[in-house]
Amino acid sequence: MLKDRINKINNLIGGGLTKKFIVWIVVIIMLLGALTAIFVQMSITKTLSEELNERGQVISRNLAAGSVEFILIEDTVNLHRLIENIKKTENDVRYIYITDEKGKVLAHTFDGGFPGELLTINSDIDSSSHLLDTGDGYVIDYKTAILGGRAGFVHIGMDEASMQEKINRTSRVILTLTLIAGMLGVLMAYIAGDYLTRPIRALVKGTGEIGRGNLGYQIESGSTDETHILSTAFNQMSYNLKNSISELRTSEERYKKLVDGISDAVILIDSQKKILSWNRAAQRIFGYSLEEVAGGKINKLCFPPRGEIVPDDLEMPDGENIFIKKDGSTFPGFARNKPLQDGANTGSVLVIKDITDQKEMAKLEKQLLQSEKLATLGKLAAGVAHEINNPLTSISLHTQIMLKKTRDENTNSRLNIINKEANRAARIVKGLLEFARQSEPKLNSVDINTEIEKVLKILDPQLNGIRVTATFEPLPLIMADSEQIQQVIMNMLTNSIQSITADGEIIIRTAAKKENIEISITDNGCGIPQDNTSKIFDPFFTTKRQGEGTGLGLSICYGIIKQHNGSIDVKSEVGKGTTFTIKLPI
Amino acid sequence: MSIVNFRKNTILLITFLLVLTLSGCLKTEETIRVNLSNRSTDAVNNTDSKSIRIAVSAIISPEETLVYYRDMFDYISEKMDVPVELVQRKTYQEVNDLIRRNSVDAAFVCSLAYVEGKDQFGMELLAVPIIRGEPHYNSYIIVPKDSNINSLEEMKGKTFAFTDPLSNSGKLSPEYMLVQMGENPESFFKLTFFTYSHDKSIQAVAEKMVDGAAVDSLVWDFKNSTDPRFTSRTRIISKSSPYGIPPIVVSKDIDPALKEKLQITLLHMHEDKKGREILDKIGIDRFSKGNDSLYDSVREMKKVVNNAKR
Repeated sequence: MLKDRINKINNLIGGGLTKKFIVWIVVIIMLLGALTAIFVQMSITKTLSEELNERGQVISRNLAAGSVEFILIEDTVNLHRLIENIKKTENDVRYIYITDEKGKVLAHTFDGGFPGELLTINSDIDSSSHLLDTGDGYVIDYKTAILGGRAGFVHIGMDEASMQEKINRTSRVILTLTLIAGMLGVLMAYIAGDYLTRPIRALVKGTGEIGRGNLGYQIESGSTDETHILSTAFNQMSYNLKNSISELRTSEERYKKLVDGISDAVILIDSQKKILSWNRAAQRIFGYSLEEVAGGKINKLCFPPRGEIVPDDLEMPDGENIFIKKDGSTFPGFARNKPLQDGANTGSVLVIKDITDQKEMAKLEKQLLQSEKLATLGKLAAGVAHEINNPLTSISLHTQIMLKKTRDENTNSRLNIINKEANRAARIVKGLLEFARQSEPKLNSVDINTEIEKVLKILDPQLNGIRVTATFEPLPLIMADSEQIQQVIMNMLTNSIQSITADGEIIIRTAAKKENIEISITDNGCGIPQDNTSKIFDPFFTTKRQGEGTGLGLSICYGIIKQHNGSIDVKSEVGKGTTFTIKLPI
Repeated sequence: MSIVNFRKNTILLITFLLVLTLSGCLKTEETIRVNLSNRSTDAVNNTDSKSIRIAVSAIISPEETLVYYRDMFDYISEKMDVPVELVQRKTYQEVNDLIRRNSVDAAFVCSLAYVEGKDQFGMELLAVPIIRGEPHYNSYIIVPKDSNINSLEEMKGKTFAFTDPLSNSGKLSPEYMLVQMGENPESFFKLTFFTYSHDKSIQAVAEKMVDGAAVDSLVWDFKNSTDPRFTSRTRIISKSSPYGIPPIVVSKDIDPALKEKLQITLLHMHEDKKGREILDKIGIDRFSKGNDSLYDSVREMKKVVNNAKR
C-alpha cells in the first residue's frame, strides 16, 4: 500500500534517480524544518507567555503595594511619577492606570486623555488578567486590587508585540536555517545522487551498447559496494553473451553452409504451410529470393495438374510433382515432406529434388538403347535378308513355273499359297533391307503440308469411309528428305487406319512452333495399352495378327525421324484412340 | 488524478492538525476588542460637594487608617444620611491646613496638632475618644526586643525615628525628655528621621532600621493586641506621663448644625448595637465631648521645648 503510494509519488516526480533523490531529501528537510519551527515556536510562545504573564503580575502587585499610600493621601503627583517610572523602566508595558475603589481613574500613562472604552471593558471583567485586542497588537491587562479593592485597582497592559517579535525572529531564523539546510540538502543530494547513480548510468550506457550490438562491452566500476557486484555481473554477462552469440553465429554459418551445400531445395514451412526459410538451392531452382516467398504459401510453388486451382490447404504428397518457377516454367520434382517434432506448432521440412535432368537422362538412355538395338538388328537383318533373298527368289520362280504347268486344282491352290507366302517373305526381307539400309536422308527444302497431302492422295482408296480431317497451319520450309517423310506419314496413317475397326476418324494437325514444327495424327481406334507404349517403336513389335504386319513400320519411322533430329511421341488410351506427335526441327 | 487527490488530502490533513495544535498552544483566551486611541475621560478629581469630608491624620499609616476607620465612617454616613469621605494626608501639618482652609469638615488629629491648630486658627474640639475609661494616652520609647538599650539615656549616638513634626507622642514627648536631660535631638542622636506614622515607626524598630523610636501608646497597644507581628519584636524602655488623647476637631467656621449633628452622632455611637460593634473592634469605649484643658500638659511641654531651642 505504502509502496504503491511511494511509487505513484515517484512517478509524479518523474525524471532520473538523482532528481527523485533530491526531491525526497528536500521534502524530508522541509518537513523536519517545519516540525522544528512549529515546536520551537510553541515552546518559545509558551515560555515567553508565562514570562510575560509573571512579569505583568509581579509589576502589578508591586505597583499595588507601592501606590497605596499615594492613593490614600491623594498624592497624584507621586502616583503619576511612580507609574511613569515603571512604564519607562519596564519593557513591554503598554499602559498603566489606577482607579479608586469606585472605578474612577486616579492616574494613567496615556498621553492626551484616557480611553474610556478601556475603562468600560475592564470594569465588566473580574478576572485578574485578560487579553485585549487593541487593533494594534494584543495587550494583556493585569488587574490587582489595592488593599483588597478598598483603596482601588491597578491595571497594567503588557504588550505582546515584543514577545511576538521574538517569536517571529526565532521563526525567521529557523526558517532561514531550514532554507539553508534545504539548499545544502539539494547540493548534497545532487552530489550524492550523482555519485550513487554513476554505476547505474554506466550500466544504462552498457546495456545501450549491448542493445546496439556492441557485445562484450565492459563497464568500469570503482566502488566496492553492491553496484560493484552488479557491474561485475554485467561485465560477465556481456562477455558470456559475446561468446555465446559468436558460437551461435559460427554454428549458424556452419548449418547454413551445410544446408546451402545441398543441391536440392530445402524449404522450412510452418503448420499453416507458410514458407519460413529455404536454402540457396531452392532460390536457384525456383528463381524467387527468400524475401519474396517468406510468409507466402507453399502452394505458390506447385503447378496445378490440368489447370486446376491449387487448393489453399494443399497437402504436398511425397513423390513426384510438377512445380512452377518464378518465370512460369514448370519442372518435375521429387518432394519429400518431413514434419518437425518440436512442440505443438508443428512445421515441416520439405525437400524438393529437381528431377528434370534425371528424366532427360532416362529418355536419352532409352533412345540410345533403341538405336543400338536397331543398329545391331539392322546388321543382323541385312545379313539374314541377303542370304534369304536368293532362296526366296528361287522358291518364287519355281512356284510360278509349277503353277503354269500344273492343272490340278488342289495343287494349284497350294502352289498359290506357297507363292503368296514367298512373296510375303520377300516383302519382309525387303523391309528388313530398307530398315537396315537406314541411308542418310537426302535433304531438300520441304513443305510438310504438301508431303502430307501427297500421302493422303495415295492412301485415299484405302480409307474405306474413315473420315480424315486435316488442319494445316502454314509451315516454314524445313530441310528434310521428302521421300522418307512421306514414308513416315504413310506408315503412321496406315497404322491408324489399321487400328480403326469401325466409324473411324483421323485428325491430322500441323503446327509451327518456335523451334520445331509439330505433326499430330489422332485416331479413334482401339488404342495401345500403357504397357506397350514404350515398345511400339521396337522392331518386330506388333499387336497385329500373324501375317498382317511386319512389326517394322514404326521402327522405320522412328529411325527416319531420329535421323532428322526430330522426335516422335505417342499418347494412347485403350478403346479411345491414339495420338502420334512428330516434331521436326526447323 | 487520484495521486494528486491523495497528496492534497494528506497535506490538508497535516495542515489542519498543525493549525489545531498551534492554535491550541497560542491563544486559548478570549480576546476583547478595545480601541485605545479614543481618549476622552481624564483622571477626575475625586470630590463630591454633598458629602462630608473627614480627614484623618496619619497617626497610623494611611492603609491602616483606611482599615481602621472605614466602618466608622460608613456608620456616620448611614446615621447622617450623607456620604462621608475619608481624606488622608502624609503629614499632620497638611491635615491642619485642610481644616484651616475648610477643605474638610472634621478631622482626627494628634494632640499637638490640635494645640497648634487652636493657637493658629481656632481649631475646635468636637469629641475625644475614651479608651479603657481614660481620655489619655502615653508616649512609648521602644527599641528592638534584643537591644541592650534600656533607657533613653543609653540612646545617645544612636539612630532614632520620630513620627511627625506635629506629633505629640512621636516627637514632642521624646524631645521634651531630651530637653530635661539637657540634650537636643540633633546632638544626642546620630541620625533622626520622620516616618509620618506610628505603625511605620514600630515596623522600623522591629526591622532594626533604627535603634529606637517614640510611638503612640494607643497604636502600640492596639497593634500588640490585634496584630503583634511587629510589636512583639520591640521592647518598651520608657513610658511618658499621660497626655490628652488625640481628639476629633472641626474648623471654627463649620456650619453649627453640621457640627452638632456630627457631635451627636459620635457621642451616641456606643449606644446602638452597630456603633458598639464598630467601637469594640477598634478598642474605643465611647466618645465624649472632651475639654481643652486635657491638653494643657502638651502646651507645657511645647513651651519648655521651644524655650530650650531658643
